[in-house]
Amino acid sequence: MNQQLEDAVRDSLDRAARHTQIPPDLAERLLDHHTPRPRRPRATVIGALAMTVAACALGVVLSASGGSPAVGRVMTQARLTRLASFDFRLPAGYQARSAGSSCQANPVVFRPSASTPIARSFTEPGISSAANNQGGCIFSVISPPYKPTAADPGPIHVDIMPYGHVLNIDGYRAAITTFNSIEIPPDPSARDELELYVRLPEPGGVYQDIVFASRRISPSQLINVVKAGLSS
Amino acid sequence: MSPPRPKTRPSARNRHDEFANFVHRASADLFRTGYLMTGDAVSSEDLVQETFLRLARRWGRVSSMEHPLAYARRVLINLVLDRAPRRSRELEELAPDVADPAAELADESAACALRAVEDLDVFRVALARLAPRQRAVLVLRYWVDLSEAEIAEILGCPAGTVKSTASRATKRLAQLVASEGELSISGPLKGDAP
Repeated sequence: MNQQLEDAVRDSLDRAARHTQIPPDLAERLLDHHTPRPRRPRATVIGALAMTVAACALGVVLSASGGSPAVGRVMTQARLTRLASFDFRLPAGYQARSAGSSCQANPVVFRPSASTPIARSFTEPGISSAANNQGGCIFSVISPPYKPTAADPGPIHVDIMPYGHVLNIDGYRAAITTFNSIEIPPDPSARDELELYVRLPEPGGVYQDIVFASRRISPSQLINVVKAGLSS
Repeated sequence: MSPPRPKTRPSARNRHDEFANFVHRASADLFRTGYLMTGDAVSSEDLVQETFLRLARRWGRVSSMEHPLAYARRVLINLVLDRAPRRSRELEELAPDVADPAAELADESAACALRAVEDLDVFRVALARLAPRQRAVLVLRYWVDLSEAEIAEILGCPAGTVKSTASRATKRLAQLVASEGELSISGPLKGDAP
């Protein structure tokens, strides 16, 4: 391995480390470890927001207006768009529209359990969608509430998403996978379709997931859009 | 005139203050190490907390060390590796190795791929897809800046193994970064049509 490559790894790790967001009160909470710490302090707030979203049934179509920069690169230019009573921050160049989207894709599939997937068409009311002028589309919808059990752990679990990544988005448990990997039989045309689940904890051990589906958008772009939306 | 204070009290308080200062000084560094190792903020914080708990139990000895932070990092890395069998299994299942070995990048191309990545999420996802020991070697060698011999001691393996692991892990990382993290998602998957 040559020096150039070693330096590249060193620089990349250094950059990733420097850009790691350190929780501002980390040391205080660590010193106060005898006091139970809130693991996800914003979960209740977001959970409440999510319930509102469900109640108001998202039905907004978003599409690109004019030049559409790469989704993952425009977070600083993001503006706030209101979907029902839920504020969702979108990349610049996107705006809300009425229902009826040019985005065509497979249905969103909720995975409240391994045995009871619930397919929802993108054209149904209650599903929001976004498009960019490069042909990429994002859809979002809230899943029904569910209570994970050992037999039914919920969608964000390796047994349910064996070909996905379980990840952390802004402190929330999430999972990203291809539509293709959960479609049986596999649909070869769905290779560029992703589904991203973000788990929203609620009291009583109940969860709801915001499910984002996308087409022709890279995983990092989708993650960035969702991260920005959740932190708005 | 107030009674003389027990001799042990100032010492205990000093130790507590010393430990608290150390937590303030070291927590960010350890959190970053944990984050590089796990790619997950919640897990990183758990790891850092567990590390400090272990250090607190033997703070008398740790505080007399020349480099307590280095020792803390070592504890944290070992915690990650202790949990590795489960995490490794998860990751193997979550992220099957779909990259084509024939597509392994040459050193120059690998360096270019790593230099070209602008989106840190792509880099983090790629890093998280490495096997835990590969990740540990890269983090310890190129971020913590330990020698191969020091890493070998931590991981309990020969220095030569560290060297070869670093080489393989670096190229694998570059390969994953070059594919923009999409191989595992849009690449060949179980049940795909040929």
